[in-house]
Amino acid sequence: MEKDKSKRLASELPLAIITGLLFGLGGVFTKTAVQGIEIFNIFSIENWIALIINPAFIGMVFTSIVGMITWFWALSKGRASIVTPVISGFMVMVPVILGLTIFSEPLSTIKLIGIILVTVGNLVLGSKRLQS
Amino acid sequence: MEIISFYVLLALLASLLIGVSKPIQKKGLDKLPNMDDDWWIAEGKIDFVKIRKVLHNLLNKYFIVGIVLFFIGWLAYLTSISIGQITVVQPLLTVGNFWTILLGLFWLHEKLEKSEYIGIIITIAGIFLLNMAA
Repeated sequence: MEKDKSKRLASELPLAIITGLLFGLGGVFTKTAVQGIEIFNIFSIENWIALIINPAFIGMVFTSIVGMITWFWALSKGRASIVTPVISGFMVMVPVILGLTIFSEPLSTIKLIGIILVTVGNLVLGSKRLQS
Repeated sequence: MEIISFYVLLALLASLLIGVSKPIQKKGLDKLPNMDDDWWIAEGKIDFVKIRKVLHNLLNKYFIVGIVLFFIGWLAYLTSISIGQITVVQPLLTVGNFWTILLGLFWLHEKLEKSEYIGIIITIAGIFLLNMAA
């Protein structure tokens, strides 16, 4: 019984990291898929076609579906208090790192502090709810 | 200068709709019968009756409203990320807890703890700075 529990908990962290990576990569694929479109108009058929025929769209759909599966899996195997913050952390970290490198977006001190504050604020607000 | 960048506003709208959709979807999922790992198998065969029952229960108003809100949020995210920087949009997308707590405060008149007020202030400061960097 105790062995089963420790085995279950040992899988929570890898599953949470994989989920966070998938959701983070999903954001990067989404950005890549809409990059050629100036402003994505949800009522424009042309925009939807441009999105769907972009190879990054496959990555976007794949990471979303597999991410959902590993997310439910992680929550069913592990503790929400561990799984949720790890997923949120990777979900922010991966697109930020790839945004700076692949998309050459600028990183100012203001932006960096903003990213840290939003992430910390989210963890503070989420921790109470997860405990209950 | 705009007070708030259009794509930051869209990213916040996306996080609000996606954040609010989750508890509503969960309420809808609570209507499902108890499901073990092999819930869809009966006597070694696929139990189509049980699968149909689960799908029927899934089509309840909470789950549908939750999915619709999630989809509208995703559309807002798509437009936001097409205009703006991923390094701004993606962090803003994770402020779902912030909206849930604010809705609880203003709509359900819930009492907040000190740590939650601190969390709200930290998040607002973060949003403010990311908007400046947008």
